[in-house]
Amino acid sequence: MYKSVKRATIILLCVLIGASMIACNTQGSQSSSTTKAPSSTTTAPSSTESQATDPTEVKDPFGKYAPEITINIVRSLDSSVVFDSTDPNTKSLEENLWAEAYKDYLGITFNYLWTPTPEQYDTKWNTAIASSDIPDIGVVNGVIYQTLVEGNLVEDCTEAFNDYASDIYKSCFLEVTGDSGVALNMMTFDGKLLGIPVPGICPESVAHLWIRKDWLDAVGMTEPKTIDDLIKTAQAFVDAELGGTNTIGIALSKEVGNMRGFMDGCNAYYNMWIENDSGELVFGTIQPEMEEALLLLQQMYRDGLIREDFAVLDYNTAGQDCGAGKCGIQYGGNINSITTLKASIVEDLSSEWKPIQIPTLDGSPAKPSSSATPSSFVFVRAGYEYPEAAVKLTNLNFKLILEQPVPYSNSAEDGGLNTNKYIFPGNTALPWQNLIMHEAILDAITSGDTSDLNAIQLLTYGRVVKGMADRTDSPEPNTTRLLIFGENGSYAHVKEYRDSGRIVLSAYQSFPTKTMLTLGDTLEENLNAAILKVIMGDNITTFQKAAQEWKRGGGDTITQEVNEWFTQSKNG
Amino acid sequence: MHYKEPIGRRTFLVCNYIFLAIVAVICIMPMVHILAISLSSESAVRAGMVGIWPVGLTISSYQFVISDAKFYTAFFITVKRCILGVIISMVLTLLAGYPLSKSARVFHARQFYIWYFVITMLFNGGLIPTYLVVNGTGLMDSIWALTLPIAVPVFNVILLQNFFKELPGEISESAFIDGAGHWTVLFKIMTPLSKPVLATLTLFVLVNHWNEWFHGMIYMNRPANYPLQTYLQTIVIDIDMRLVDDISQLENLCEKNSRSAQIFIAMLPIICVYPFLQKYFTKGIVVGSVKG
Amino acid sequence: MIENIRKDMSFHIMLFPAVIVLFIYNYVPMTGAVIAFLEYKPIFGFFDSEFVGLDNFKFLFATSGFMRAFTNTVSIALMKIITGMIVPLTFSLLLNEVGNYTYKRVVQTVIYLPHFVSWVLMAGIIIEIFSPSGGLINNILVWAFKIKPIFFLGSNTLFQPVLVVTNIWKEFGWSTIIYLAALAGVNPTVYEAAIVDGAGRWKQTVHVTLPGIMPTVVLLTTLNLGKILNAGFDQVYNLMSPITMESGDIIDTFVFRMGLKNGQYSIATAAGLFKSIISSILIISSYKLAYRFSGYRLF
Repeated sequence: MYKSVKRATIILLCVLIGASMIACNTQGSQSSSTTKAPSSTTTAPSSTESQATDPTEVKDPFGKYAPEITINIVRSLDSSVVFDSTDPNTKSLEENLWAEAYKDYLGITFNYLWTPTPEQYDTKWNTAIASSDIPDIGVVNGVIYQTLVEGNLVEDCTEAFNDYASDIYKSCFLEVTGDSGVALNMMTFDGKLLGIPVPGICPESVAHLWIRKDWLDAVGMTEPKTIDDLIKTAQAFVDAELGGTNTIGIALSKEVGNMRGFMDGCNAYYNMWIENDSGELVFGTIQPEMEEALLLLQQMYRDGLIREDFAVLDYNTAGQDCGAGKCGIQYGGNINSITTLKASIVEDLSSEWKPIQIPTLDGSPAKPSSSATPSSFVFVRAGYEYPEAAVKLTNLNFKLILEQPVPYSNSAEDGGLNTNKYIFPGNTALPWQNLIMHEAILDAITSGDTSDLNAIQLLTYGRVVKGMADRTDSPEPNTTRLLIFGENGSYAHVKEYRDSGRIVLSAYQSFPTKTMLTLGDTLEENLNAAILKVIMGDNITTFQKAAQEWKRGGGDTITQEVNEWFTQSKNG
Repeated sequence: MHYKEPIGRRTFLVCNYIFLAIVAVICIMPMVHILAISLSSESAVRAGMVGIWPVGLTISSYQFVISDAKFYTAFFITVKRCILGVIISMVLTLLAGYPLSKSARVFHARQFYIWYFVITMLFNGGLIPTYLVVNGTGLMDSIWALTLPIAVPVFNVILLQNFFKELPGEISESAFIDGAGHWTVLFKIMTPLSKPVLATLTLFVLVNHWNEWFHGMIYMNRPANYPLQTYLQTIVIDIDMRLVDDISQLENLCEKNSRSAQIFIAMLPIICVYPFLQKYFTKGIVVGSVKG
Repeated sequence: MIENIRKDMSFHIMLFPAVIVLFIYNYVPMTGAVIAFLEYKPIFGFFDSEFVGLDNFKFLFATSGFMRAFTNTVSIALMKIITGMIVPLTFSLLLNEVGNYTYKRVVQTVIYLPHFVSWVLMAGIIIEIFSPSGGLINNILVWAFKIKPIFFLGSNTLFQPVLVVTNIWKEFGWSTIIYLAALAGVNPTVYEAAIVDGAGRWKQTVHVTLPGIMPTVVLLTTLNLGKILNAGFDQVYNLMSPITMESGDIIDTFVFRMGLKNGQYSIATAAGLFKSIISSILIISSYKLAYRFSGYRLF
């Protein structure tokens, strides 16, 4: 009895000690977390005074803060952000050449509150919001941005942006060089710009038809211009068994979105909002044009041109067939030569993949779809003393990337590290950056003068030229680059589309509506199921019924919400 | 004495061996395949050309994963949390399992407690409320955030108390008669008798701590505090298609490669520990302790 | 009652640490389930988010596809529970018969390995194996039975069985360990007594082994019953395609699409609460039934 009391006391003591350890931790970390925040507010009064004292002060896009300020920010980190502790330029997130630049030019130091992986970034934001622990500046997606706006947590940055944005930054939102002001419009509420926009959004992501020229030659056909040509070509490939006994005509996957290239060619615009003749916005997926596209695909499936289990494969797995040489046609984007087709390009030197403009029903020039709606927004906390800091940071980003790419925008292939990954607020790019590079490279090839090329352009130029010269001399990554940036590469087509104004954008250019957030995905999956089933053989009525279901199950509400925005945006 | 087993029994044994072998092969095949992927070249993996043998043998995926010093930091954090977690969980499980194994006659509040435990298996506050509590108790960025919230594995407690119930009552009876208290009986008698179950539960707790990554992600603000699996999650690349540099990143690393290498690195320690725990599963304990 | 507490003081003290931990980290967060009755936005917190009563539940149930997700969940989970009991049990009995110690050890280790592979990686392999155009399974079937290849993962009749079978492959090793441990705990003297009575191996299994581990079996099954509405999000999410949504969509994937992706916590919490209530009803019913009919307390 005595023994067990003694034992009990010991255990109780352990529990108490353990509990007090927790309590100490609580106090400890609370005090450390409360000292973090004030570091920016304690320096604030002195510098606000010095800034506010002179109303005629020049608003310098690169004005340095003195004394220095510390900003609480957040960002995502993944394995593409690499450090090398032996080199002071790339030592760590807190110590690298960009952190130095921010300090030297702008007097800004970052205090990273948290740096999760991109996958958990949004979840981390939600938990931070729930515990009222938000940073001063950070990039967020549309849903979180809207929540923050709703909660009145975003600072009015209208003046900050107008007064401090550099010319280059502003050019990102103009007509031709940028996104035509979409981002600015989306972030303006009641005339106030809440937060600052992320530059670089432009409709450059269009679908191309990637096809093997060597196979075309083998069956004596030319590049398909009409959908009909395409079908005949695929049939010819299969009949000639160019990829072995189980040659696949065209590589499709369960991801209906990647069939965009085919559907665009049929004037059916998947997942986009189109203005009809009465000036209203309608949902592209359920329009009659889609039915024709589906029936054509259905015929192709019936004729054995599509892999039997395509409907359970994701895009990359379906692309494996192309990489392995079993298939010679795939709808893809700008960089397929590096992804799904790479194996075939690298391992099989006789393969001649090339991207061509998507075929249309009647052979007329294609009108591919793309998107220019931003998915990232720079958040600035309401009440933060220096909203213009976010603008200045972006200004500096562009300045250094364009003027001094050598240390600041290194490429891993030069043997260094990707230094521009250390940029705030994550990655920043100029609109049409790749297209500009393509044009610069072509110019350099014609003129033979490479002096105007910046470092990355020069590097890619070298690769393109090598790729043009000799396929057998290490095809990787030269040929792959040639197919993207070279004379007949994907960006050549992008340029042509852009210059002739044939890129089709969704007419709805705002945040997901309330119903889209809750029901949008479910509705889309139901439509996808019907689409896939029809392609696999179901009667077209399956799709028509699904379209009706879409409308009834929430689609009509969404259409209404979308049109409300449309009317407002036309008038307002 | 060696007697010849009946022919039925021998046939059964042979078939048994064969059957078990087939099952073992089926289990290990996909693992071999994944191992092959982790050792293959990126373009071969992209083309789906890898079967059981690596194609384009390369250890670059592994190099990529373990070359970073952060890997080792994360590794030791996981080792720390495993040791801490196992000790805390097993102690709490033992302490809780014993009283719960007593019948309601002996322990009057037993029914209350057992439901108290079971309900936590059924109801869950969800991500945000749990996060707020962990944050509010000051565990953020500390190893305790990884161990305290899951310190009581209720499933294990239920298993253990069930096992205790099944032990012959005579053993503890004689101990009580000899003047031992509950604490003595628990630690000096029942614990040694329960080695198979305790070994099993230890394994489960260990594996759980080893594999757990989500808590590491949301409760650790500094990547330096990430445990191993959380760190391995960061091996995934987020590609911005607008940037040419990202394109070159894509070229150098195929996600499947690195994920496969991840799995093997993650599995290795457990496979090493497992054999040591195995010997506890296979020994019967209650031999000769009950007299008469 | 105070008298009883004093008598049982040792027990209460032993339970105290666990009780505290559970209180702080399980019971306190449980109050957060109130989110299910709010239009919760992390910005506004619990107190300022709008109270909407049962609206979230009504919205959830009314969305077409929910009932389908519910029935799929129950059917898949039921199959998993049943196979999850029979297969590991049988396997552990078979493994128990192996005399060679090393053989046993090797097999034991190997079967536990699949547990470590994530479904993200396994999905690709499974799709390849079950593919109708050159997949391993179909190759064997066509060669052995001369039938046309079957599109397993595209068929709504076969999708659920494929889920169950592949899940067994991945998880049976885990349960087998528990059963092996239980087997090791069966009193050898009872075996000796049986042998003396002339029982052969089979009779021993039926009359000694099975009854000896039956409490563990029953317990495991009951506890798994509580998970009946967890049909396995990871697995289904990675293996499902739009054409198998009819048979594959479970509550968790349904709710994920409906809003968890977009941080719509109210709906996700409402679904979670719904699942918890159903599980509780099941467990409490099994407990009471077992007690009523056999006087046996499940736990």
